[in-house]
Amino acid sequence: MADLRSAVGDRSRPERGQIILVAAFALAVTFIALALVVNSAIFTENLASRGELGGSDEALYFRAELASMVGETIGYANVHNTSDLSDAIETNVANTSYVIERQAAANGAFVNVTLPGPVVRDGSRITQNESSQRAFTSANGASDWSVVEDVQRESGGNGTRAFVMNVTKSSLSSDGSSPFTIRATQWTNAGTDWQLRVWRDGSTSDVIVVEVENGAGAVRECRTVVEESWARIRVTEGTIDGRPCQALRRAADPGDTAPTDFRFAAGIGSRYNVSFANGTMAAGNYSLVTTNTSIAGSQTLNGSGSRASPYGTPAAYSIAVDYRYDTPKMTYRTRVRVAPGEPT
Amino acid sequence: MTDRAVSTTLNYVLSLGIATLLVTGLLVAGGGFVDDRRQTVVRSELNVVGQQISADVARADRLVTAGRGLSDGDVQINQTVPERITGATYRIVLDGASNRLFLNASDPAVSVSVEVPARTALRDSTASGDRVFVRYRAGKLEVGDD
Repeated sequence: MADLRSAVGDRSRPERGQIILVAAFALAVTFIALALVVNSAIFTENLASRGELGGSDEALYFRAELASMVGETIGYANVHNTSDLSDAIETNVANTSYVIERQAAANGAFVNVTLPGPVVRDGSRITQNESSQRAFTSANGASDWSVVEDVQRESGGNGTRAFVMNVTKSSLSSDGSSPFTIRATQWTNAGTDWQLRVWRDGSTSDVIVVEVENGAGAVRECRTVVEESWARIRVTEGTIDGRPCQALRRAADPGDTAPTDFRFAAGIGSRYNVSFANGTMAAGNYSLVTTNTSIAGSQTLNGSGSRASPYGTPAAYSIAVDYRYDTPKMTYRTRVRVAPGEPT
Repeated sequence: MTDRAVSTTLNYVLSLGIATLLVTGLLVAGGGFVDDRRQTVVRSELNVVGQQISADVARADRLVTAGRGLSDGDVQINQTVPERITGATYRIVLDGASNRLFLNASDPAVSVSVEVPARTALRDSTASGDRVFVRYRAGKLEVGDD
């Protein structure tokens, strides 16, 4: 093979390998481009490993805290401070805001809770609260009586909440005939009612039966074993002694896809009356909060002055607060409606 | 020199030809390799950016649907993403009809799609790189950039 030196040149000139040098330069440029690409790949790995923005979970956690704290405020004010409800609740919302603000600020978030104007929805609370086992009769002793009239549903909510009964087992009907009945009837008295009947399955049985017939005529029952001498029935929350009762909830029957609504006053429109029938077939205590604002004129309840059972007092039904949660990367504002114990 | 069977010119041509072939072959292979790597990197990085933005949309959706919906309020989540990927710019497109996020890079022409799990309706919107936000407006979630 001929060498690559000049054909007539002298052989003492050193070899320079220029073609290989050019090839080497070109390859070097290629390697630099490859280094840039690999660098980008490493950056992608780093980007992928960056943790999730922790904001949204905390925003929802504080929202739940807020709803719980304001709910407790309303509950307490309704029992202890019925003369000055709006002020008491509004002051406490400011306190709640302060507490949550401090807790959130420790995690680098700004929270503010404000009241958008006069938004405490007034209502009334009806209570029977005796240490003796009083039957569920009216203030005058009538067994079938109207508890509250003209309860209007709130938009986005209900008209009755926090309906809790502590019933002694021995006072219940032992065979299901003429059992104690809670009835919700339409304001115009048209159509079917919503009814709840509760009785005991035998004179010594531990099984409490709750049967609910909703406004559309469907019937569902639930049976619960209660070992103590009294049963705690939360009518609007749908539990008996803490255990869920499907006869008080909105759920599908086994085999159906669409749920049927058996919640309190389901299917009877937006304005209704609540009454008790066979009040002598149950004894104990109860309490409920409604949106009715004319409880002072009730003929069947005692006034808030004497507090002799059963009595009606003004109460707060619900409140709406504006909740705001801000972090450097996220803003979240919403109006939170608090009505503890409402059927969900 | 007259006793050789091959002339000098032919020597040169042959040598240079082989050297050229060698060098060209190396450069083409090297260039092709870099290009291929670049496509892979762009695809994987678009995937990462897409998943992050999709996670932001899912987060915003959680906030909107919490507590029976958002009333009288708004949600906005900001995110910083790389402006270019190995020198290529790209666009982020949110498609409301199919609940998917499409990321399209211009050069190399790579397109990636990521699913967005959200119960709220999504609005067709686009954003380019750098500062991207996800926001709830007029009943739907959308992406945009500052």
